[in-house]
Amino acid sequence: MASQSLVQEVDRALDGKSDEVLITLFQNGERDAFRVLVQRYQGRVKNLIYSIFHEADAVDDLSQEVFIKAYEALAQFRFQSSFFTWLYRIAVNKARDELRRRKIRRILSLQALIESGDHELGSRLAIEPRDNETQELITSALRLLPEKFRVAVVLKEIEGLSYEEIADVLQCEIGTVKSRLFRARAILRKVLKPYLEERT
Amino acid sequence: MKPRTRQELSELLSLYVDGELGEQQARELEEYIASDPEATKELRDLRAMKRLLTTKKRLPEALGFWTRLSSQLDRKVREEENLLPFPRKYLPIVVSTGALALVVVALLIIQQRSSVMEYVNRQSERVQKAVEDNVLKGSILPLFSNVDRNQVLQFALFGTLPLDSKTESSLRVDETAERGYTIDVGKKPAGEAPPVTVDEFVQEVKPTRAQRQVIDSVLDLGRQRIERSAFFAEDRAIAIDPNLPQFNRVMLSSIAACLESVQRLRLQKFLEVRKARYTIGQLRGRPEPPERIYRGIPQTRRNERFIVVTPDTLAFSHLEIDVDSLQRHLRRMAEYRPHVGVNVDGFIRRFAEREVAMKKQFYFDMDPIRVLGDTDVLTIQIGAAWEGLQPAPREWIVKPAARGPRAVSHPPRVPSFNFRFGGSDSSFYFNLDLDSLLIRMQKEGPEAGFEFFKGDPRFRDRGLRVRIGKDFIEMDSLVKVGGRAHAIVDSLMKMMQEKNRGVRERQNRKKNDDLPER
Repeated sequence: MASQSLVQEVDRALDGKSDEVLITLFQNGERDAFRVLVQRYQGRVKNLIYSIFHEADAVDDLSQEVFIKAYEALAQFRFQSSFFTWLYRIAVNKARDELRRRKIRRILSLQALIESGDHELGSRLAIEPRDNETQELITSALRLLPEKFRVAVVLKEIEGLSYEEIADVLQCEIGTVKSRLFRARAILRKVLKPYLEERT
Repeated sequence: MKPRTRQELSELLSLYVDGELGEQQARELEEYIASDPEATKELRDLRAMKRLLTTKKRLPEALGFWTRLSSQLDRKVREEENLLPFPRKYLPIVVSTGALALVVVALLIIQQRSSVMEYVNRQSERVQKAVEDNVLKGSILPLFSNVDRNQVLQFALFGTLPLDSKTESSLRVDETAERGYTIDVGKKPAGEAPPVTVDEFVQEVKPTRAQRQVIDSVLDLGRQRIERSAFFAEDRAIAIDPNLPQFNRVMLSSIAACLESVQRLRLQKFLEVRKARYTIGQLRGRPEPPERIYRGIPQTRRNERFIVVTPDTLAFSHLEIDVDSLQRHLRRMAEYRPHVGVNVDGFIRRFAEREVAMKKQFYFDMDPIRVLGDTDVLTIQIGAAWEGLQPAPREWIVKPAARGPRAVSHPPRVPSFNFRFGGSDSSFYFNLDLDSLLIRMQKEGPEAGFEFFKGDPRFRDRGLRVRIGKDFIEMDSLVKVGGRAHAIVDSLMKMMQEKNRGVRERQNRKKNDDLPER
């Protein structure tokens, strides 16, 4: 049918549009534009939340909440930052809120780990990890980081954002980003020491 | 460049691995690193950590993410928006304004035949335009909106959906008939199943958190499908997706598909206690992945074929309804809901009045559909020949608990005309029963009917044929019979009488044959 192919054509046309154009269309009543934005970023948002939150069951619900929040706020989007850093900001805040809400406390604080010399973790990390163990290792290491540092590392190393973009997401100075990354790496280096030594 | 402290060195190395140092600074740091084994080791560690973190696995893409999100957004918007786009006092005018697209498809067939000829010939574009115009004007409304998960679960278990909270009317589907399916719209029968809630279901079947999420998504997808499956235009027309009677089994199977064996057993008990129409056919089996379950729930296509019933006629046509825009429109007129049952009841009464006068009955050759009604309930019977919805294998996880009577068990009482216009790819069917036509001819004179048969050369060229019972008559041959309207009516009447006489004689012969010999 002609109208059906027209719809597909519209879909194709929207798919090719930049975020800015899609947002403008959305702000002018084109709801389909939001669908394209969701399709474009849902994977990244989910992975970001998963990297921070480490709970696969909760990722989907939280991601949905992120996009609902974005949907509600997009009409007021003023193009002062890029859409994806704005969206990441919502996602990071959502993950943080959820962490606080659930009152998740790190059982092992880094200081406690270092001071007590956690031999169990140390011996676990000393084993050359196989593929799924690598994933466990990354998850465990990230989980040991304080939330502020963890978010910075995830945005930099896993999501590949620049310092400026991270500063935009976290609404802080670039100097703060540098400092958080440096401190996160220092902690990670201590935590992953057995693994790193094994590799040398 | 020599860092003053170890911390400064670490900070510089952190920037260096990220490529954030200037060219000069980077070169100086590299020179220093070469002279300091500790710095070399730290750099190696940082690079190894970087590599390690980049191997972090990504979560797979989840199917149905947008579907679930969109349904949540819909619900949210619905909760928030409760404003009419126009002054409230104009609501009745807005609702009743405009020609109804469904009526355009069907009512005009009776009332303005000559224009219908033109109309039909232009086919779907005009149908579609009329639908769109009227959708925008708010004349066509979905029979169901604001359906909640409890109601979807109720539909999955019993095939019933309340039309609104104000009247005792509901839509009921039944696929347990021996041959074919039925859709009843109207007054609730006595002893209708008591309401079921998702909470009760969860308490008794005990799904895990992840399963609960899948079940919620299935119910949301079901809600979307239901809201796109039935429409009405005030008290003048109803359009229903003929696949609806099978959809509740699809829903229940999809829910069962995510359950473990022990939970399926609990579900079976849940169904038995509530005397649901279905029972579990496959108690053993591994839960299916959510993506597969979501994919197995067919959504209404943009261009779906609907059964369109008006008090005067029945049509079976593709209707392309932009449900999203319709739903957006509806969110702004939340108070239309209380009128649904009233309008549908009004429609059924009008239908019943005509039914008595015209002995209304319809029958399609390829897709046997019949509409019957009394003053309380309108019944659409869909014969077993209907194969619109291809069931996926897992649908058989549940099966009907018992078989009902045959839905379409005998041929129509009176012969009817069946018309088909257009080519195979763009055909448009409509159907008029002969009684209805003849009554009109008798009331308004044969000329009124003749207009209908006069024969547009465009139809003759396409070989339009009128079917009376099993006989086909070329339109142009009808026109040639005497060339006058009354002659055509006479010949039609004669044919009908002969046909009926033949049927009666055959029936009498059969009766006599069946009598036991003395």
